Amino acid sequence: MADHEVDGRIRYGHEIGYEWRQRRNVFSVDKLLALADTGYRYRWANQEPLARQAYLVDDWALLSPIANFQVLSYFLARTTLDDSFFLGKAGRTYRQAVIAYLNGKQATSDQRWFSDDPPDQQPMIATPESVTAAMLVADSPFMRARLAWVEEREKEAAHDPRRRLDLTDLPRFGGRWQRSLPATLEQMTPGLVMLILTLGASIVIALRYFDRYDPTSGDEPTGWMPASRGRSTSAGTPGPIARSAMRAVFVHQLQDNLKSMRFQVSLLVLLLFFVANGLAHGLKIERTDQETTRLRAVDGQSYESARTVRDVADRWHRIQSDPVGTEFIAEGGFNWSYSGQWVNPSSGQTMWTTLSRTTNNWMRRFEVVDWVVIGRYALTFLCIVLAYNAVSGKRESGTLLLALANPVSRAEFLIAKFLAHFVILEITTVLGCAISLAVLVGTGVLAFDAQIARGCALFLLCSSLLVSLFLLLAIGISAISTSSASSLVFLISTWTVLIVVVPQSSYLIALRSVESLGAYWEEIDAIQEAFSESVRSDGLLPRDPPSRARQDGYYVERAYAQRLGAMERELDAVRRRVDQQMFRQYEVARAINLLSPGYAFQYSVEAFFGYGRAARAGLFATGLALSGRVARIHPQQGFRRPGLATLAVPTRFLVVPVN
Amino acid sequence: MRKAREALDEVAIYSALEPEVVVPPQPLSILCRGILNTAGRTMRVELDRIQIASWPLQESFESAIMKSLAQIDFASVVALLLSFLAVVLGFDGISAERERGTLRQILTNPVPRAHIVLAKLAGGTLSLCFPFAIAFGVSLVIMQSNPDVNLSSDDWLRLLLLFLLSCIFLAQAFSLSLMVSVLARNSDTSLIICLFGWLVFGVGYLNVVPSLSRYLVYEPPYQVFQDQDARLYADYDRDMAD
Repeated sequence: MADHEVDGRIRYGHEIGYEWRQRRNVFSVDKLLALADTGYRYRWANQEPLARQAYLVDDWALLSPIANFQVLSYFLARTTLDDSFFLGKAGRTYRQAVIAYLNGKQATSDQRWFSDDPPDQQPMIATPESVTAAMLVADSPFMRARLAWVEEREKEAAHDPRRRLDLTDLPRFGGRWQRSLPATLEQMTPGLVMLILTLGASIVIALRYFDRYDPTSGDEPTGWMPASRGRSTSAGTPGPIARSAMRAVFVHQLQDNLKSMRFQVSLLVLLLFFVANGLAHGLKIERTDQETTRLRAVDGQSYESARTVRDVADRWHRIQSDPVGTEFIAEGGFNWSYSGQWVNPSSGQTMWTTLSRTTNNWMRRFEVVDWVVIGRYALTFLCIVLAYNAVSGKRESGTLLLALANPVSRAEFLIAKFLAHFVILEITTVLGCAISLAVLVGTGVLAFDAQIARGCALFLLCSSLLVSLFLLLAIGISAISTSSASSLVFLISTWTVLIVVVPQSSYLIALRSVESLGAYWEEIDAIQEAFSESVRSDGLLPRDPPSRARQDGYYVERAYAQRLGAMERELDAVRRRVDQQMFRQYEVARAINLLSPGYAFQYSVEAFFGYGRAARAGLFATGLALSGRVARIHPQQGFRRPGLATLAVPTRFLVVPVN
Repeated sequence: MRKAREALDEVAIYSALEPEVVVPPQPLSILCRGILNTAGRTMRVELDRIQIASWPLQESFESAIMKSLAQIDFASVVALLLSFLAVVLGFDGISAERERGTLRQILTNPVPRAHIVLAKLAGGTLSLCFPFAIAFGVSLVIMQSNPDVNLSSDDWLRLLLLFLLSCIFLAQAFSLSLMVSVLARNSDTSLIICLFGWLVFGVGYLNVVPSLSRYLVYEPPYQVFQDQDARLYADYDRDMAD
């Protein structure tokens, strides 16, 4: 207590104390700078692969014209990961400049590093040699007199211009912090070359083939592509017989479908999606398992070091959601940020965490290809592409008249058509699921058990509902519309709105319709500042050494703890409010997404599995329950370690205590 | 940015000197979101920590729960929807003429075949670029009406390039579907191929490739870094205690 501290600035200290601090600072700042360099190396080693993953996506964009365009325009707008790194580099250069500036001023060995005292400032205690320990106690007459003196000086200090640090010659941030246009163009070169090449090649091919093009609209197409759809409908089995007319329509349609190229291509694409899913998730499950093992190990070690319940109660615990094993069916946001939560049992605070599992922040703009995503995009698309001309196509080729001439009711005809499409799509879906499972089980990362079987059954149930919905829509529109082409255009537009546009705009609408989070960060700062201000002005700082505090029953410390508790409750209220607001935004977006059948499907699968919203709520409840349990044990000070066994947390979550 | 400057004004001792660099948002990020937020970007100069990349400002960073939702920007509208329009316009460019019999009429005229294809291409591209140009203009006007957006001459040049790029992309999408239309002869087949191309290269690509790349490149667990970092600070504390 031989000096006074304001906002981290030391005031009215004695020369001897200052000298000691100066020597210490030179040493500590050198250490800190070295630490920063090593820390940066570690951080980069950890993040570099994540960056490489993100770069890979941009590199491979060359293969897809659509993705290529997107990446090129991001290059132009300077919003790629690379541009963030570019700014990062400029920031590091600037940091070096600031450090050089500090070195130039010999700031670390200067008193000004920690104190804003002017050179002629009188110390609070002029002769430290003559002061005894008893005099230094906070409420001794000597200290009271000195504190009154400090109080007096503080009034002057508030507007003493010499206490301001002259930073006019501080280097400004400048130079290149963003790419110049030529540099951007250089970045874009491969993509541009690819764009021009594809454009040129497609024109050349079109020209070449058009030169040999037969302009007559002959009945039998002679192109390189067997347009078997038209042929197979006309060369199908003879008209159905009375007894099982509906069955005949059904069988006929099945045969038609299997022979048509459209079906073959569609089914192949669907299966490819499933193979990709199997491969991606095989690797992912393996990695998640490793990570879980590691988290558990840290968990165990941390409990090893605990000696009393207080050791455990008085720190932040990390509650981590554990993978359930069926993420390959529906990720359910397992990849999003809020995979964990911090709880502090003694103060009852909670905080969401984003960083316990490895997440690639730079890849958040993409979805993960799980079964639900395949269903949402590919299955619905196939329904439309397969069934858009179920009725209108028959009419155009004249076979509708033929079919309806048979003793089959119109409803039966439609049902047979629907069933034929439905059966094929479902068989392919089942086949796709089986392939994906085979990849996962075959590589040994997944053990097929009852839970997974149940998951598959639930997925198939939900997906069959989705498929039925879109097939009925397609067949219905096909019956209403005058031509197959107009039916297809209408259906695809509807699909684009429902599956692509609605979900993509929900984010924007939600952000606009729910009030923004505001500058809550400032609010938190203000609360913390008000706390330290009030504690300081009322002289409630915990005393050191504590022996003195024991004599008067820790009254200062208790008052301090009370204030601290009050502040923590206040902070917690702000955090919970922000949290609720964000969750409300999410709920709005979710409600909008429900307009899209694809998302209704996704959310129902997630609900069945207990992912997404349910998992988040579950995680929150677990956090509170655990916090409550520890808080109840907490008062029994000195409780020995065995009590910790009761802290083991329910199956789905693991608890990782940290310091 | 204002806050960062105020913080710098309050610095009275060197150890508190931790200037925060806040750069203005990329104005074009309104059109092409990329991975960065429009809210602005910041770098902090600290003695004991070196940032790898810039961070978005705090508030946008915090609402991370929303990041699980798809977000739309001008570039993805062009990439997904306008390319879709190009497919719908181009798939029957040649085959429909043939099916209707009008192709024969055209070919009876003394026009080289190449001219027909090129004319189709030019016409289709123009009819795609025209509505696009209007939409682009409108969004530019909206952007300009926002007082926070200041476009430098470099940005204008980039906008022009973005427009040209979009037009070339639309021409590419249209000519690809026109090519399919020539190859497939039958309009239906052509449409199916075009749509599948669109599904696989558009929606499929954006969902499959990121998943694959994420799991093809090994990512070290974050916990490893946390351990290393904690050890660094523990070492530092021990050194300081000595």
